[in-house]
Amino acid sequence: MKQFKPAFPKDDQPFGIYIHIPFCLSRCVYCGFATTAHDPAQEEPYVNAVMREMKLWGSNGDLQAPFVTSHADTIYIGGGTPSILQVGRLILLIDGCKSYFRIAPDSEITVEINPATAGPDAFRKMRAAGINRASLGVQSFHDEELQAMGRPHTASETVSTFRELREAGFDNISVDLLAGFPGQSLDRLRVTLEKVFELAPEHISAYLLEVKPGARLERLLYRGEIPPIDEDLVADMYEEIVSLAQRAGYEQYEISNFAKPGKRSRHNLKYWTDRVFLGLGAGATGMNGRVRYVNIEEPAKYVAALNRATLPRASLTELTPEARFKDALIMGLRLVEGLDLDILGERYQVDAKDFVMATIGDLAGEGLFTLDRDRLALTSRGRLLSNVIFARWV
Amino acid sequence: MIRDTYMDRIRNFSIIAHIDHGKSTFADRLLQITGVVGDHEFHDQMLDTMDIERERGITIKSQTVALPYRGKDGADYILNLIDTPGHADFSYEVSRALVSCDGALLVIDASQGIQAQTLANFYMALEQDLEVIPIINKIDLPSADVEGVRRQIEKDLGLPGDKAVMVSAKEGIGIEEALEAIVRDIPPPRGDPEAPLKALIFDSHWDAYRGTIVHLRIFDGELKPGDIIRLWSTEKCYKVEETGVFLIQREPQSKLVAGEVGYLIAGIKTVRDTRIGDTVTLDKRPCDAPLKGFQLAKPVVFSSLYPVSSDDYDELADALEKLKLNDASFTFEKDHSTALGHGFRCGFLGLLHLEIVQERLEREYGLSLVLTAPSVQYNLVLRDGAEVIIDNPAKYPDPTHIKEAREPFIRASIICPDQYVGNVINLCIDRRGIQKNFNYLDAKRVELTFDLPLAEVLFDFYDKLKSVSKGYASFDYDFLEHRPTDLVKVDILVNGEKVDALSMLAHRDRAYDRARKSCERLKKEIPRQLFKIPIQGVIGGKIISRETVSALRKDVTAKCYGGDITRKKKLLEKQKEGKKRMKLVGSVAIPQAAFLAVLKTDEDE
Repeated sequence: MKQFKPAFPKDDQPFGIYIHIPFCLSRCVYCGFATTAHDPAQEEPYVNAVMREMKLWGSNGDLQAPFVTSHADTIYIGGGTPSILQVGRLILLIDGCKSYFRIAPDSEITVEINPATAGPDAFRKMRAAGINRASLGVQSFHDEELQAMGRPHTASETVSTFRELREAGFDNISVDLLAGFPGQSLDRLRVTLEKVFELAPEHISAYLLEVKPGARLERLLYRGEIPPIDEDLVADMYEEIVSLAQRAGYEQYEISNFAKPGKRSRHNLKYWTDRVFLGLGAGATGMNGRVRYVNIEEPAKYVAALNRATLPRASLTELTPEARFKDALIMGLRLVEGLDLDILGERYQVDAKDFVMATIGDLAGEGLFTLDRDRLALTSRGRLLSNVIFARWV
Repeated sequence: MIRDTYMDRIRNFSIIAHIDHGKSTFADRLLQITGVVGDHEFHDQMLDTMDIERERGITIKSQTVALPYRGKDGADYILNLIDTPGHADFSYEVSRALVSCDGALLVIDASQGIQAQTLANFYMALEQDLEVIPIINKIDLPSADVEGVRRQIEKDLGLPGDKAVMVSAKEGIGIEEALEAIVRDIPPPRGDPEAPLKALIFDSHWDAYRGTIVHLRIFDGELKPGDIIRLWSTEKCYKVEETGVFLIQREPQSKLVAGEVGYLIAGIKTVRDTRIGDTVTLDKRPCDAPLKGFQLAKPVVFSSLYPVSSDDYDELADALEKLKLNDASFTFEKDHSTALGHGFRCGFLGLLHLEIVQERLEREYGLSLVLTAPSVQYNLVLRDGAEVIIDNPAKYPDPTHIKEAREPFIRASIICPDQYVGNVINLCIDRRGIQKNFNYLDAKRVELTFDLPLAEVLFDFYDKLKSVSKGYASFDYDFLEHRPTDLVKVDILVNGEKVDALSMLAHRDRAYDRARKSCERLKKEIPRQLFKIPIQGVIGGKIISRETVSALRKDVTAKCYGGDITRKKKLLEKQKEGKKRMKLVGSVAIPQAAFLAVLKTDEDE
């Protein structure tokens, strides 16, 4: 391999803003967060703390650079369950972003919504406040599965919430699905997908189950209270999702994401294309180009830090051009279109093709990726086995 | 005159017990009550200095400590406690430690009563003419049956039951009484301080600053710095630099005299030069005969050790050298495997000994190792009349050249309640055992004697015995002899390639089973890879079992957004770490655990 000395990219702006809302009605079986039951009394101090965090960014020395000098064109409020916040507080957060940062007028503004946690009135207010995209936590259309997952809603409530979103004027809706949950079958997954296609959302995120440390699921599996996960079945499910989604007119553009034309998640593309992003709220992560930070995860401690007017950092990691280049490879290859190594090399001032061949060249015969001129992309087999490739870059 | 009274105030004793009967806790209490360790320095299993000993609750190395004790008679005594290893693998070491004593405390669990090792230890103590004091321990337990155990002591050991001391080491009950019993019942050492030096090496250990520290009991004469000593078996001479006694730490003394237990330092380079059981005398004025019972510790179990990363070979060589400094009983020589590269063929006293060496290499030297299936030593008589000793399947000759194979047998003594006798007999017969004796110890307990092939005992026999007897059977053994056997070699192919490190020698009746189980276990342990991997068991060129590890289809992080990259990279790094513990054989990464899994049998069945 030639000398490998990448440089920081210059074109990593405008930025995106992520705001984390760590509250849920109940804890899902597969959730790895240490969330506690929702207490409405925590909402106000928490939202105030996030507002304070926004304000502090204006006085954050070197770290603030891109967030003060540039502008944002995506905002994403995720969780947890942002939709259990009083809608006024959600709007306050959007307004806060607009007053503390420069927000492009055509920004994509997404809020995650769980079925039956908010209704038509709240949705109309959200739309009026400029929220133009909803991400609905559907997971499954089988009540037994929802129950096993610990989801506090039914399939019919999901349909109602979806319709209410549409009626309130949301013309860009994404739904989250969960595949590979113990007990799920291919047939039942197909039924769920059929029902999703009937609703015709603009975007679908279909995630294969991950057993997170600390999740109740981990314990249940360990104790044998639920059957072990059949990895082959999960792989079959993935292939089924990809093929059915395509047939229903959704383009797979990332390992787990599918969109109608023009409806890719602009916010999430920031992550996959190594753009800077501001993270606000408990446990949120941000990256300003030189540093990656993680906020304190426990809401009470997060609030306490901001009450003392200190930035609520749990950790701060200096980034090197090399780390960013490798992250760009790992994240970028998640996209189905892959990466143009020539452009990537230009961006990081390095011979990207040379680096790639030196690190994964030996896997060339495995059918995991294609390298067509300068375009490196994973094959469908490679997407299911992407960690085999990514492991070479950590 | 002073000498005589001094010797009268010494007691040399050992504590012997069946495993888990509370020996270490009892020893801890003796140390505490005699003030050898203050309460603030105290921790459990004081005499077990290695992590492995504490974790496993066993004693591996001997330890000696002099306990100062003022008796009820007002006199001050020195009670030399010689702690002994607690496992059959180390029975020779135990026997030498016992020779250094004049008495032994036999600790018996009040609810479990006399077990196989209790008896074996008791017989060993009797052989050395030791005064045995029974200690009934754990009398605080609700399940304690003090009277029952007292009757067992009378019937099985032929000792007066009322002599037994009632103790709860955990609660600190009966410790004073035990100390009094030592003073009262164990005779003071006998010996002639004026006679030529005659001392027994019962252990030795390595000290990075001082070299070999020899643990010894002086029977006759005296020993002081400046003396030129001669070791009987090697006839090597050394100048003594320091003599002293053990008070947990070493405490130098101007000399050691007949009856005393202590140590000597004499610039001896390795512990190998000091053989356990050997006699130490003075070069100028030697004793006329050595102490009886000296043997060279001989390894009986052999396994090859390979570093997972071949870069670590030199480190492994270095670590083995260092371990050997402190453990004269294990042997090693260079070995080479096509699959695993350069390594060492090592000999051990038993399976526990093997595990201890492996653990120490991994923990103390940070090495990641692959072990091959342990093997016993077979004697082969070839057609040309030559006799060869084989402990390594790799060196197994063409079977057509073999006229006769012989394998080592042990004589096992198993004690269990009579309702489990059927199960135990079935197990022993299944392991090719030959029943030699059947003896009711009392109305409920039976002592069985079986001749068993050592190879059959190596693999999970003990676990199996425990499970068929609901934990009640106890087991002890002695070596017997080599007997004719029908030996075959089992090979394992992974992805079509023979993995020599997985080959094993087995009796023909067991070979099919071993091959099948090896394949099954490997299938469980070899992670799925990008291609499918056949695993085959082969005897004499014939495939007799097959399993397949199907190809990996899914290794993906589904959700990966802004904050997830860090977590994901950590996961991938962890996976990578795991890969480092795998050995690449051909194109297949085989985890270390797979090599170890093959060593086990039956744990799932």
